[in-house]
Amino acid sequence: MTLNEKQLADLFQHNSTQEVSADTAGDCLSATEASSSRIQKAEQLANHSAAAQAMKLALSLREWSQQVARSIEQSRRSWFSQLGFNKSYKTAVVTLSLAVAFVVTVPNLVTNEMTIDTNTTQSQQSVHQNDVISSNPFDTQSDVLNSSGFDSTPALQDKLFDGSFG
Amino acid sequence: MKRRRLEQIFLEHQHLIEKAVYSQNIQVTGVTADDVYQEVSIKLFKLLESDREIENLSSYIYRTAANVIIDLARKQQKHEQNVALPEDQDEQGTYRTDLVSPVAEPDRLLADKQLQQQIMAAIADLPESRRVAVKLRLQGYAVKEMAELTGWSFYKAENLSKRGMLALKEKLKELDIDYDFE
Repeated sequence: MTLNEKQLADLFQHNSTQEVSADTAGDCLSATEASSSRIQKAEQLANHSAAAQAMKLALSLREWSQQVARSIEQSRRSWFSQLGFNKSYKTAVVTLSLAVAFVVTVPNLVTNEMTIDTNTTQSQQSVHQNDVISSNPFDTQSDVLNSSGFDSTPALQDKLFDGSFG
Repeated sequence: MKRRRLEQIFLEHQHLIEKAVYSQNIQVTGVTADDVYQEVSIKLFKLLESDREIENLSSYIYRTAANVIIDLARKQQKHEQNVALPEDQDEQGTYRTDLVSPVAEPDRLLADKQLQQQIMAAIADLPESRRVAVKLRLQGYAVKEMAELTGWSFYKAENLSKRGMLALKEKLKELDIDYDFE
């Protein structure tokens, strides 16, 4: 009887139905060098025709995994790192620039604050001068409220005083 | 990272999965690109949400995708074995499950169960490294794929495959089977 490779492969695949665990594939890909355990896992995959075919598909996804990982890493990096500031010399340059900016800006801010303070006091004074209520004193003879009293009103005219609940 | 961003990244690289699947004409019953995206993205999203530090993200994704694909293929095969379709029932009411199997039925000449067992025993009798190389070759693995899976160098994988097939030829000769391999 003569047998070719295709017939032998069909026969072998038809009889390869041994159970294989789900994480066998990952274990085969994680090791960097051939080891006894890795060879055994590879054999487990070869003993299960569906798993062996699936593993062939998985092997072709290396490029996809690399691209996806690169995109995720780029997306996770902060804007600071994306601009390249994670390198030490660039960080030093940025720190120096920030220090210079601080030294230049702070005196300007202080001067501006003083100007604002002066302006505020002046405007408060002008408001005070135009204010009619503020300019009239309460404690003089012209103060109507101060000179008025409840006791001077005759009690007979006070309806509230005369009223009763009984 | 937001889930939407991750989905966007997957979409950006979708063509690579499709290229991988269609260019190599690999057909794994019950495994679609959508299933792979879905399962891998759930696992990845959980990982990214946990802020766990991953030393080699690319390798992690590669391994996760491989595990997902194998798991889906195993589940699908189990499902096919458990659920035999009514049209696969013969006159005696027994199911011809081999018709729904994703694996091709061997030639009728090899339908003899005893002969199949003898050939399987001959393969199992090979030394470990050669045996693994022969099994992977019979599953349709190219030398490069064999090397990637086992960690062997390309030349070692090629050598083991050739020597393993020659050793198998000798064993089959003892069974009066003349095996002709390329």
